[in-house]
Amino acid sequence: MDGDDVHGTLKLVSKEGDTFEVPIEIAKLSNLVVTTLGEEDIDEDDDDGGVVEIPLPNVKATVLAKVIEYCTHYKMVEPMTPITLPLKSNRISEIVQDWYARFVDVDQTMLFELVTAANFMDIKSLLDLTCLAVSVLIKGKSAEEIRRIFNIGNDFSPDEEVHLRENQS
Amino acid sequence: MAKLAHCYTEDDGRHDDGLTLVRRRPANVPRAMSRNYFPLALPPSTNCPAAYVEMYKLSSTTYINNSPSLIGDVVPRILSFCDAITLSRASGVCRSWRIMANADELWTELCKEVFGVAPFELTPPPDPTRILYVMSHLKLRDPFPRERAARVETFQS
Repeated sequence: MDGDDVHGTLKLVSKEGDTFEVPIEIAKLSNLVVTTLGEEDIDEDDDDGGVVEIPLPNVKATVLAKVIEYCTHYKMVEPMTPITLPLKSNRISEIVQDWYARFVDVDQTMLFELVTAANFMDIKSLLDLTCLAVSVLIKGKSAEEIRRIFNIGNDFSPDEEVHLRENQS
Repeated sequence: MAKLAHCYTEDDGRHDDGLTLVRRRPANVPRAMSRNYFPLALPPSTNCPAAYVEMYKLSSTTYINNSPSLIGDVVPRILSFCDAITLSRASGVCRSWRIMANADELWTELCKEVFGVAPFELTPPPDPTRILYVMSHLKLRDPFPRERAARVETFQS
């Protein structure tokens, strides 16, 4: 397990079926990958010549490419400054390095897909970063605006609405 | 409800060493889907695989209101980065968000951060913690009203 794993690669397969070959060391930023590799080791049947394929059926290729870009930068260039509470600043660029701040400077659809992917692939630092970006997105927004951003219905009864409004004023 | 503000350091350890986590995945679910929590309700433009949507429906019925917006741990994490005003507004989004945005853990962090006081330092502790924040905020609008009244009196005498 040790010798091969350190320098080997594995394949991440996007929703569309595109295959991304990634060094195992980089892919291991994802706890989903770590867990899957652990399972692979136990039932070690010679499936496909040794290269492990991990299907990610709810991660689009465009999003997966971004995630891999993040993991590569994290492992090869510099790890992201951990995001701790209380936040040091309101601006992402003052909390993490510039590269990471620019990484989440994307449109809302991509940002939400990145949150989903980070959650699914269990990459804690990316999940922190993208959730921070979403919190910046909803900062100062009204309840109605937040509903629109998250595509959520309002399930309060009229009575509750009145009560809420009294509470908040 | 789990400790929200600390949910990524004190939970089952899955974030730091995924190896410790052993989860059973149900039969006929692909391996990569074998997770117990579910991602965000995405904008209508985002389409999901059918199997995934099915699991999504199954999971959301266990929550309070069937709202597809509810996902195990992502919204609390987003809210943990929000300020008091955003949290107050977020509590008016829907029922599930109201519970998540009013969580004592979030307001404890805010009270400590903004006013330097935590609810457990008071007897009796305020319930819910959010009250402490609101009261502290109102007090600070007019700091030391009694002392100022006293000063005014001395000045006049």
